[in-house]
Amino acid sequence: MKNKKNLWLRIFLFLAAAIIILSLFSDVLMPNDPNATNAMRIKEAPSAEYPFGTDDLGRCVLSRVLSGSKTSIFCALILVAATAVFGSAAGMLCGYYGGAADSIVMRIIDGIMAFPQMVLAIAVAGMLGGGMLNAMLALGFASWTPYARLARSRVIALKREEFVLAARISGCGDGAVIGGYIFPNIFPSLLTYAATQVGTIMLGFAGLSFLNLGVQQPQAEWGSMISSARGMLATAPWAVLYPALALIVSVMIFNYLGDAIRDRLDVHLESEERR
Amino acid sequence: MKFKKALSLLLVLCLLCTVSGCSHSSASSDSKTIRIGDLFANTYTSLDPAQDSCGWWTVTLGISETLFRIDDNYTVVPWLAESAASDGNTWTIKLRNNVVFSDGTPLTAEIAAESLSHAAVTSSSNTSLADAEIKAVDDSTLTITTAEPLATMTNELTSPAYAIAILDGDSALFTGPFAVTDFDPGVSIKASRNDHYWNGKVTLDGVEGTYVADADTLSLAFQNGEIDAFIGPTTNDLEIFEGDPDTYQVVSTPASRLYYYYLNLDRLPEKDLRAAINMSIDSDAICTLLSGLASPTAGAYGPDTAYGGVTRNSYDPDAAKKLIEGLGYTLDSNGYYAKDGQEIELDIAYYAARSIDKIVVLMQEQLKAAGIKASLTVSEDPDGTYLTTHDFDIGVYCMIANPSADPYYFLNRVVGGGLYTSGGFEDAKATELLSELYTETDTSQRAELAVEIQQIIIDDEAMGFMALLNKTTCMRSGVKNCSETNPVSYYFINADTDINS
Amino acid sequence: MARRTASLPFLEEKMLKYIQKRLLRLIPILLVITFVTFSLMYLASGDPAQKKLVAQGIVPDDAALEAEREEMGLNDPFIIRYGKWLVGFLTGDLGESYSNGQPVSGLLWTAMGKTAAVAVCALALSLVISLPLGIWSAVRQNTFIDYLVRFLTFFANAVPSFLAALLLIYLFCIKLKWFPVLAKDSFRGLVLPVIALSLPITGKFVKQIRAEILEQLGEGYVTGAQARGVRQSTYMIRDVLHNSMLAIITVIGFSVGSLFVGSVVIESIFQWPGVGKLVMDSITARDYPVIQGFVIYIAVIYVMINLLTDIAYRYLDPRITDS
Repeated sequence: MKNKKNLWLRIFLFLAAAIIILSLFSDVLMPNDPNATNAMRIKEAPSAEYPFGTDDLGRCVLSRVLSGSKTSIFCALILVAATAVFGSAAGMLCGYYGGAADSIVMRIIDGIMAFPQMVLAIAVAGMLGGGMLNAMLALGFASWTPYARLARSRVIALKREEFVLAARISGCGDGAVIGGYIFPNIFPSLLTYAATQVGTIMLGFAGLSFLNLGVQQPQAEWGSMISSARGMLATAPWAVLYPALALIVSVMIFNYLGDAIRDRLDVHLESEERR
Repeated sequence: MKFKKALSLLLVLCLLCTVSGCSHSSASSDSKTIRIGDLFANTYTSLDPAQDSCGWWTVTLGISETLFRIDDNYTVVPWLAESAASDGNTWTIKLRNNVVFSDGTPLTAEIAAESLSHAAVTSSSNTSLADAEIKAVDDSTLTITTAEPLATMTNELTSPAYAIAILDGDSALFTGPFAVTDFDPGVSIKASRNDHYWNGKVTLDGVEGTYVADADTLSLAFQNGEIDAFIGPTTNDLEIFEGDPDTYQVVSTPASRLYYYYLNLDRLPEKDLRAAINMSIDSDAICTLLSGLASPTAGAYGPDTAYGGVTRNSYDPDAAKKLIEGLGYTLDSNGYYAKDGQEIELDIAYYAARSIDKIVVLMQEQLKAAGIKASLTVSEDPDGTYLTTHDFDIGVYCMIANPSADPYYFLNRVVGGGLYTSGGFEDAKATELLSELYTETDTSQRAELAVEIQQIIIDDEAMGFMALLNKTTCMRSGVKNCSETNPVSYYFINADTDINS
Repeated sequence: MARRTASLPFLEEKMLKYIQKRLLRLIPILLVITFVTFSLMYLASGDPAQKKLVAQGIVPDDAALEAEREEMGLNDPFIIRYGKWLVGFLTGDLGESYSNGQPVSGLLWTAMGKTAAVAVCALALSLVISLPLGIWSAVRQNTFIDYLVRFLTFFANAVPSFLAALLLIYLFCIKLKWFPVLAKDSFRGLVLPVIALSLPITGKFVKQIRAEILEQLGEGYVTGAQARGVRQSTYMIRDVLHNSMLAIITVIGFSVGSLFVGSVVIESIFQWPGVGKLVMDSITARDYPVIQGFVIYIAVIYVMINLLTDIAYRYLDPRITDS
């Protein structure tokens, strides 16, 4: 059973790594300039020169899919990392020290979590206006809270454990206790939750792009590529389907990876995961 | 194994439930009603034609009519009026004597004067009659007196804001071939044949106008036969429709919606640089991009109009590069012109409607080809942002340059001061010519003045005129007479519009 | 252990106390929600007076702006404006829409009914599909069927809803001509929006139900039942399903958020006149009072539904203690 779990984990780790490496080297792999328009070669079917065809501005779809991988995947990874670090740190500190600051932060978290994540993101992005940075801020604002809540509840439970008490009695400083005893114990849960979030965040960017709250032209991002080419389903399906395929496959791989990590680490997440 | 059976049964049931909803065939009613889709109908929240641009909707759907209208040759002709004569500051307008409203009430000069007076003070989009005195002289004659002579009175009266209406609270009576039966503000409007119509027999039984927020949804609904006709397809739609002439008819007519941009004179004080920018933008490529939807233009009006005779530098990126080099800039390693290590970087401000989002991407690339770096800044609401704040190097805009068959409308906006005089353009000669244009009554003189003013703008390299959007009417086969050869986009449904299913 | 019972009077008293406690705890949460919502509006770039005038098609000058600011109370300090707005919110007055001057709460209520119709149908459809699929996949764990179902759920979770909606339209409207594109209040028009809206939540449901059933199947009572030769259908329906209800109810509770988000995209595409389309139109028109009203309504509904979920959860499983 364990072997099988490991196998799946390896497969999806490999696939995820492959996608990330592919996007890292996308600059080299692009056959054309992803932003170069050509009014004479609009909506051309896939050919040797344009393997995925061209879009309604005559831009190379393959080059844009590759270039978009950086935006879509890296922005999602960076955002997940940033929210995970910030949220976990806040949660651990609150849980460890408690007190008035803890109550205030938890009330704020309750308030933010009272909104469905994407509703809040749409509202924030709608207020801030379009642009990738604003979209990241909007999604980030709405998605750091589960880490904090998760970390806090685990810390409060761990604080009462004997090995932590022992460490404190033996004279370890707060930093050492948190870093050396508490963090290693809650890391698997946080990692698992973060892994399941990558796909969600990628779809979040795509949704904001559809609402014109995502990247700005001419930057390539899969969601906005699908969204702006959606009228071309009948006349140039390649302009829609290739970025859609890239997005769907990547989200599926990251979601499978999240599940595989959870199975491997045998972590049970409660309500946080269901949102 | 019973459990499995139960499960499969449940699954089959679910599928049946889902599919049963679609077993009916699409319903077709016997009455001949044409269904129109509109992308902007959410802004038509009132039946009062003077509110915002609400008048557009009722004129479009053949519900309301104005005293004068613009015909297919872009000339002003009487509609509810019979004739008009000017005597300095006062215009005397004679009405037709056979016009009745949809409830049978005859149109009198008194009703018309009241309707116009209301619009004159209410309309924010059309302020030309704001201070006018409008009086009924007898049953069928009214006079309009303005402080200054208004040479273009009959042109002004073609504006949908001046449609003749009897307003009573939220309801309104009009004179058109169709009368409103159901109005859901900002969503839909239904109208049925006006049996009292004054101008001959009305062919159709009714008309239904619906707001559709998304251009792709509108096109899909049209393809699925839920919408019979609409104006303003995307290039993708055009490709689909033209590929299937048995099902769709597409008619394109040169019209006057102008794509243009302001250059910010305060930020780009060097005239040669502005000239270089203008020479780098290729109107022809933009029109290729908008395949079939737009025509290139040198001035603000089409080359075939009386006031289209302007000249400008042709597209020439090499000449543009020479001009920039003449200013002391050299190409850096990124392929952009720079002076003292500082690259030229232009900010193109735009809004994402009517394919402008595509045009600016092309402009950015064209400037790049001439060694000019440009970045794009999108704004939801150009009027409230970059036009007001002048925070741009190149500010792209789109406006109907010729709504009333006269050049004053657009030139007054971009030269005469106010919101649309953006980018810091100021020219004493142009302002003087503009005030001459206001009062000049001779048509050929007006055309000359208009050409002169445009030429000043062009010679100063203050703006760039890119393309004129055609009026493109899409109709399913069997739909006839949708004013498709008229250049004005709010003339659509009329008494002769027909549909054969 | 298969059934849980509790003496009812005791339960009711305890439940009432619990509900009371939870309602009290709602007060600070609601305060934070209103504060966050109001602050977002406050921080929104630009001048609301100008936005209101522009939204009404008026080109503003300085005098008109100043008058409008005074009328809208924009010259008051932040905390006073928040207070006024909060009082308005509590009395059901969320201000007026910039674009058409209608009261925001009225607009939202009308639209909310339309959205509820689609959302409830989508929820029902999701359950009807995901319950059997989830159970089937769990019972047949690690067989081809299980892998297929799981693959489909991952797929459903990875497709952006606007793309799914467009593909559905393309297939069922343009190619097969079964359904209208514009939903327009009709029953037939409702089918595609419901399917499109239910797709992503169905993916989530199947996953959760499968996991829950698997967990139950690992419990001692199932092994016991199997050992005693009880038929699969009997213990599945009597015990496993019954015990899984808890998880399923929680999942339904949490899906409400996804439903509202989905409705923004789906209603805009199908022209269904619900809250989603209303807020989308308002974002385009920068009609901030409506966006604000939408956010606060959704948050309140979301909080209430979570509360109901927790109460139901507790009712079904009285062992759970308040943490």
